[in-house]
Amino acid sequence: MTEQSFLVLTALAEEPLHGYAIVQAVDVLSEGRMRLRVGTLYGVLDRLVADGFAERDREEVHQGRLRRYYRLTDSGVRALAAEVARLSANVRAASFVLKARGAL
Amino acid sequence: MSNLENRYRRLLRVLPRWYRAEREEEMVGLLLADRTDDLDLEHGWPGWGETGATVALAVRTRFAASGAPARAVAVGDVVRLVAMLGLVGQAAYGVRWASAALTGPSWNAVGFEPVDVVVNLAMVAGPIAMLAGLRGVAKAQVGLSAAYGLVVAGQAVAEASPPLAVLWHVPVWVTAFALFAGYHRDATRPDPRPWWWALLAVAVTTGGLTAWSAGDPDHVLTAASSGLVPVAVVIAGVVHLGRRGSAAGSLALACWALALLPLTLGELTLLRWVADVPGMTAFLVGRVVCLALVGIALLVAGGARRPALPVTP
Repeated sequence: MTEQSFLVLTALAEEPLHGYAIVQAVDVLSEGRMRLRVGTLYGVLDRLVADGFAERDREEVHQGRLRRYYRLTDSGVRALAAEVARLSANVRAASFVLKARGAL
Repeated sequence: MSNLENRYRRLLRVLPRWYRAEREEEMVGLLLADRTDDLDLEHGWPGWGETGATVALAVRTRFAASGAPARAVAVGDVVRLVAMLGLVGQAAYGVRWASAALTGPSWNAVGFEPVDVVVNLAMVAGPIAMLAGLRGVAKAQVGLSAAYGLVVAGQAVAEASPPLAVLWHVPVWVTAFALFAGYHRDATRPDPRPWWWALLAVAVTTGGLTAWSAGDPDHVLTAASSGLVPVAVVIAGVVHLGRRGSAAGSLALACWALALLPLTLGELTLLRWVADVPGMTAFLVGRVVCLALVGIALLVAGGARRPALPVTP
């Protein structure tokens, strides 16, 4: 799973979000490291929807503009949990080695 | 509608129509959500980053791997097959060079300059890297070969060399385009098994025949410098038509038959200096005619069975 997909899934884990809210949430989650372009975001969303990890929720019109909301599916929750477990194991392993060196 | 919105909508035209029908309003709304400055709305443009992201999205949707209308996936399948066939053909040229260099007399072993050694060995290494799952390495090799071909072809044009000097590089340009367009982030790795067998068959056939004919500068196979690749395309095309193979396979082989046609036509100019080689005229003319006929037949067969365009409002 790419970091972009991981962060978008994480953003959607709390509640269904529209595109602009996802971009803002990813910006916050990554502490400003990742600013998703519009083209990039829709590439990621297309992939997540195709994989069954996310789906469309509802549509709203805000100030004359279409806003489409996306939500996490059960499969998306499981995929995110599995990725968190994998990353956590990596972090634990790296932390153990660094502590042994006295670097942590 | 602001100038910025106009410019963004123009940029979005690189996306396929079915995708714009689905996403355009949503994407425009998102881009404009935090661009509220009047000066920006009047004089701004989406920016290089957004342009790059949109072009990348256009490649992924026009040559889709999944999650798209059947026509877009079919086009993607054709382009990916063109890339794989191009890589196998490229390996044939590399093996041919290696075989000629190792077994031929001095007249034939001209490519011993370091750059020739690197370029020709890379032509074999690139396809192997692709089949081993090292897609980035394969792309780097094909991209560098295509760029090198552009430089060499540019020099040939500047020196008013015969068209053949440029046509020689068409196959690697086609392969490079297909590899970069077809094997984007969403495309999965091709099943390597049949392609390993194809590579092995190409290596044995091309290497063996080149070694066999290398001692004879008048031999039809050594005189026709593009060698067996166009012949292999014709044979593969006939077999594919006979077995009523997939539409993607038909169109990919048709693409190669037609892409190699100018090169084989260009090689007819070889007749000026090898016209007395037994069988040469028949070989070169027959190759052109067969490529054209098989290419058209494949195009018709593949076109008749391609998926319909999706209905868009």
